[in-house]
Amino acid sequence: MSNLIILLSNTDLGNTPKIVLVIYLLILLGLGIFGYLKSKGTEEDYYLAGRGQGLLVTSLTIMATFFSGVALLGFPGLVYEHGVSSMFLALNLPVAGAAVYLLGNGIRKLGQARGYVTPGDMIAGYYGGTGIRFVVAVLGMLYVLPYIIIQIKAGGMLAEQLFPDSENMFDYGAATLSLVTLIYVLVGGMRSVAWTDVLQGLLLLSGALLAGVAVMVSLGGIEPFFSKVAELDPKQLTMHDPTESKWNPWWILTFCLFASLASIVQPAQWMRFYAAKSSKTLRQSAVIFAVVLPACFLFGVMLVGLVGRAVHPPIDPNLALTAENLPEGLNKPDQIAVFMLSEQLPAMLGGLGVILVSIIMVAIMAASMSTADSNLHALGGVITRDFYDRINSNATEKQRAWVGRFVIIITTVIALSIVYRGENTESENGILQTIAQFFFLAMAFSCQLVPAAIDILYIRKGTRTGAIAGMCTGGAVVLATYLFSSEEGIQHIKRLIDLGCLAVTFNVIVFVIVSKLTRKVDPSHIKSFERDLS
Amino acid sequence: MPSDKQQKHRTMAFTLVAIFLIALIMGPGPGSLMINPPGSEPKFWFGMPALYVWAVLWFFVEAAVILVAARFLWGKVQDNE
Repeated sequence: MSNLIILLSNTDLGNTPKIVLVIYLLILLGLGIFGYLKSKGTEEDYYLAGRGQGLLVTSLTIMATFFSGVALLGFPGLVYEHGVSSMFLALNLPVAGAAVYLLGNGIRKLGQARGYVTPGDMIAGYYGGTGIRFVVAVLGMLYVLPYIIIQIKAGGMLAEQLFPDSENMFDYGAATLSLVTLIYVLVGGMRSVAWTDVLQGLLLLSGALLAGVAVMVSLGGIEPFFSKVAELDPKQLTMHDPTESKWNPWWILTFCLFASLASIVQPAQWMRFYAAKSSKTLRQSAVIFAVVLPACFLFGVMLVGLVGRAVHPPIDPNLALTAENLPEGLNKPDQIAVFMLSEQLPAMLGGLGVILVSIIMVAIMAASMSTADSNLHALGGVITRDFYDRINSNATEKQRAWVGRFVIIITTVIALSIVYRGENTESENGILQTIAQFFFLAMAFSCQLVPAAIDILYIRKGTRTGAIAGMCTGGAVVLATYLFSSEEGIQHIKRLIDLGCLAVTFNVIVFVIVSKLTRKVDPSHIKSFERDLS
Repeated sequence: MPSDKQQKHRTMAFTLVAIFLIALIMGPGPGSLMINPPGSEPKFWFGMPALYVWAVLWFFVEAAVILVAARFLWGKVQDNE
C-alpha cells in the first residue's frame, strides 16, 4: 500500500483518483445502509447474514477476503524482483479453491446443523471444553489483529499522499477511513461487509486481467511482448538455488500446499463458509476460485511484472532493488504494475485510461479496506462467542450482537490509537514495528487450525488434549522461528520450507502422539457429528 | 460392503488426488528443475519462457482436476437444500 501511495504522488493523473476515491467511499456507506435495511437484528443475521448467501456474494467475498491490496501490487512486484519462478505461486490458488469446498462445505454443514458462528464454536463443539476454544480464539486473533492495524495505517498514508498540501492528513485520513469502515460494519454486519467485498472482488479480478491485457496490447501484441521478455537476464527465467533465495521448488511447493490452507481457515473465511447458502454455492465458488482467479494472475498482472523488468530494468541487477537502483519514478518493485499502467493506459486510451488507472488504484485501496472490515467483523464474533459467552451464558442473541458491535468499536479505537501513537511518538513506534512483523507470521498462526479441522471433518480420531497440544506446539514453532530468525540455520530452513508448513508438521506429529495417549472423544458424540456431515 | 457406484467414486477420487499432487510436484515443485534448473541457459517454447509455459500447463491440469471433481464427485453430494 505504501508503494502505491508514493506512486500516486509521482503520477500526473490530476484529481481523478481523489474523485473515484470519494465515489467509492460513498458506495461503501450506501452498502452499509443496504445491509442495515436487510438485517433482522439477531446475532446469526449480524455475523452470518442469516446463512443465506448465494453464489455471487459467496464467491466474491471469499476471493476478496483471501487477498488484501497486496495481490495487485505484491505479485507483479515479486515477478519483477525474482522472475518467472515466483509466478508458480499462482498454483497455490487451485489448492485453496479445492479447500473452499473440501473444508468449507463440512464447516457449513456443521455450522448450519449446530448454530456455529466462529471457528472456536466448531472445534470446541467437537472436542469439548473451554480451553481449546481459547486456544483457537487466540490463534485467530493473532491472524486478525495485525491485519486490522496495518490496514488502518495504510489508510492514513494514502490520505497523506492524496492530499499532500493539507496538514495532519495521516491522522485525519486514518480516522476517516476507520470511521467509514466502522459505520458499515456496525450497521450492516456480514451483509455490508460481503457486499463491499463483491465490489472489491470484481475490481480485483478485472484489475488483474486488465493490467496484463493493457500492457500486452500497448507493447504490440503477444509476440513483441515475449520478445521483450526474452531479453531478460537468464537468472530471471530459471529456478533459483535454495542457498541463495527462497524462490526454489522446495519452498514454493510447501507454500502452495500450506499458505493457501492457512488463508482458507482464517476466522473471517471460516465464517463465510457458515454463511453460505448451500453445498452447491460452495462447489461453484470453489470452481470459480480455482480456475478464474489464477488465470487472472497468470495471464494478467503477473505478466506485467515480468515484462516490466525488461522494459524498466534496475540500474545494476546485482544490487538490491532500492529506489536508487531503480528507474526514475519507480521506488520499489511492488510499484511496477501501477507504474506501467499509469504510463501505458492514459497514452492508449486518453481520459478513459486515466479513469481506469484511478479505478485500479482505488481497487488496491479497496482491497486493503476490505481486509480490515472482514477481520474487524470476524474479531467481533470471536470475542463475543469465545470469551463473552463464557462469562455471561444467559445473554440474549441481540445482547451478543451488540457486544460484538462494542468490540468492533473498541478494537478500531485501540488500533487507531496504536497507529497514531506509533507514527507520532518515537517511544511507541516499536509496538507498531512489532505488529508489522507479526503481520508476516499471521498465516503461519492460522494454519495451525488446519489439522484439527481435517480431523473433525474427515478422520475423527484426535482427542481434545491432542488438538490443544498440536496447536500450541505449532504456534510455539512459529514464535521460535520469529525469535531466532537471525540464526543462519533458521534462515536456511525458512528458505527450504514455508514457515506454516514447518509449524504444521510439528503440530501434526504432536497431535497424533498425544491423541494416542489421551482420552478419546465419546463415540456417540462422534456419531452425531458424522450424521450432521453426511 | 461398498456398492459399485461408491467404489467407482472412490477410485475416481483417488485418481484425481494423485493427479493433483503430481501437478503440484511437477509444476511448482521439483519437477520444474527438469525445465530450467538454477544456472542453466533459459529455454523458450512457442516463443515464451519455458518455465512460464510449464506453470500454465500444470495450472490447466490442476484446474481440470477441480472441474472434474466438481462435476462428477462433489456434484453428487446431497444435502437438504
